[in-house]
Amino acid sequence: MPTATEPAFLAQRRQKAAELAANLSLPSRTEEDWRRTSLEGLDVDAYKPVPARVTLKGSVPEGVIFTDILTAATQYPDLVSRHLGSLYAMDQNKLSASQAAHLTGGLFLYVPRNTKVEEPLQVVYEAEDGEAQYLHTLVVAEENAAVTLLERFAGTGDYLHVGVVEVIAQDGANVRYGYLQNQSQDAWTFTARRARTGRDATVEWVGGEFGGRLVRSELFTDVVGVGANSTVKVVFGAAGTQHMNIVASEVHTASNSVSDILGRGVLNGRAHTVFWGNGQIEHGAKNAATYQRQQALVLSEKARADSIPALIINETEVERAGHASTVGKLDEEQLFYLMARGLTREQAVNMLVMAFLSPVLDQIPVEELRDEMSRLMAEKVVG
Amino acid sequence: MSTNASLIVKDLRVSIDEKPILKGVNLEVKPGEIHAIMGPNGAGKTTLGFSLMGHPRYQVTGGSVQFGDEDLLSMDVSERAKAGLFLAFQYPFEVSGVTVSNFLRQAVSAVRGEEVSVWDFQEQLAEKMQLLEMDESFASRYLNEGFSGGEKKRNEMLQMTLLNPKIAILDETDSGLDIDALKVVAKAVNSLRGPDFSAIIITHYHRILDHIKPDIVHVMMDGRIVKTGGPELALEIEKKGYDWIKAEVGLAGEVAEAQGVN
Repeated sequence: MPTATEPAFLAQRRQKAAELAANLSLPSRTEEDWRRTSLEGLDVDAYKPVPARVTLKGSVPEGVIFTDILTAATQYPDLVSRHLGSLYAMDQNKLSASQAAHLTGGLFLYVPRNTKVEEPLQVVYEAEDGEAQYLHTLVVAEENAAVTLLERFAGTGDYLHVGVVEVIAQDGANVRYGYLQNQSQDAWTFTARRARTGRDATVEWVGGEFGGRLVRSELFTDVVGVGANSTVKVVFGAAGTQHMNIVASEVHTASNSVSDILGRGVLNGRAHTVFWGNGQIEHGAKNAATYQRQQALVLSEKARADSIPALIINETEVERAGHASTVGKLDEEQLFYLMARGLTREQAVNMLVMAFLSPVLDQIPVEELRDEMSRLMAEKVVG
Repeated sequence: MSTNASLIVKDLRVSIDEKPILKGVNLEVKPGEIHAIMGPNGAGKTTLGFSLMGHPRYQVTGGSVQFGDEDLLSMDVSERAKAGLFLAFQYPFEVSGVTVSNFLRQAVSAVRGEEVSVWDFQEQLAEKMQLLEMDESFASRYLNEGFSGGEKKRNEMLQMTLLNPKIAILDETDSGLDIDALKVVAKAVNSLRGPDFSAIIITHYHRILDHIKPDIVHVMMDGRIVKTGGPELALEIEKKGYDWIKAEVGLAGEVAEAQGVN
């Protein structure tokens, strides 16, 4: 959705992307992390790109830019062009190219050096039936800047969401990106998130996945700064015939860096989830540590949770590297115990589900987000 | 719901995985009465407790259970709890991630049929914990997780006193307890004693009955109640064991006969 005053760099980017989109295909099942995910029935061109409905909430200190991305491209072309697409290449497949070609809206957040934004900034996106939303969130946190951004995604009907989030955390910066994916149960939802950490920087991905007929959610961090810290905390709840493909990846190329992936999900109905975890320590990243724990709780006979952790270690001096993954069912004896104290089966199931999620929920830094996740889990997955 | 709820068990037959465990239990517990059920291992005492509470693995194959005006067997587990039945578990389950106080507030709200305010609940909880000589920190621990045997039993008694049931079944709550913990259990039961409260104390030992005086003592063997008497029966068992009762009811012969048929 080009705007009337669109700067040249963006117009050129769109044009290049459109050419790519015409020639590229959708992600193929021959790719390892798409192997268990079928895009059959997806016709990208059947959805009409329309300007994004974006609502921004929050006040920012002097010098901070917090505005929609198309406005930002016009007002701050140098800043936006320098970083847009710097972590995520548009030429990967038809979806990535279409996203760059159509870019319908999104967010630009720039926090200058030594600036701390106290209150979490919030953004809400809404989509409607038949639409294609190609969104881009670009976060640039300069040296020692600190900010928390919370994005919520919702909508009604059958639509297509293709999102890219890029987080650039320069030396000593602290960026916490939280999201709540509560798209329509009929929506196709693809989101690629990429972060890059500078020296001693901290990036935290904190997410909740609840909506979407088919969800592909990527949470990647390039841990390139010495002493940097990266974490992923994801809660997912899938029911009905939902399919979720969640990939969390931490690639360390710097020494003394630490990463942690924590994923917990609950499944009901005939849902199918695939959680890929990748902890990678490259040669030279001495004393780096990566850890991942992924657990799923399956409430029905027909639901299926695949949990696939991987560790790739190319350095001999590693502080710590490990993974743990489990897929389990509710314990009938525990349920009986709770029901013997007057709880209905549904209340008892919900209590056990919340207990299962508490190690992740308790670590979610924004209380509002935590409460919403609990509520969605109870309503959409357990209920 | 009548406040005077008698529990009337008639010819109750229960199987686990097709294997008959209870073979026709008859029992009537009137409001205000404390009953003790004693018997050797494998007699079916725990099965009786779980069946009355409605554990799905225990299949009722015959008989009836009336609780006040209601047919207990037609109710699900939580309905039985709401009707005023309470089972103190011999081995309470651990639930990581749920605090004692959060769990109890939901349970109390469920049983009373109305949301209990945090403030009111905290007050009641503190009072009962004091009665049962429990440390305050207990309430914020995860339900039974890492609890010692004694702590688990105390926690069961805490639940019982807060839920204030019409009838409580204590399934070997006294097993493995030292004398101080045993006195706490007795205190919990005795604090509820009154015309509207009755209890079934399932036990191996006479010991607890020194502290909770029963009105009626039953002996259970091979899935049936084979002998019923007053408190003196418990003392007699303490002295003489169960063999004399076996001989008296001719159970040994019956068992041999049953095996012969199979």
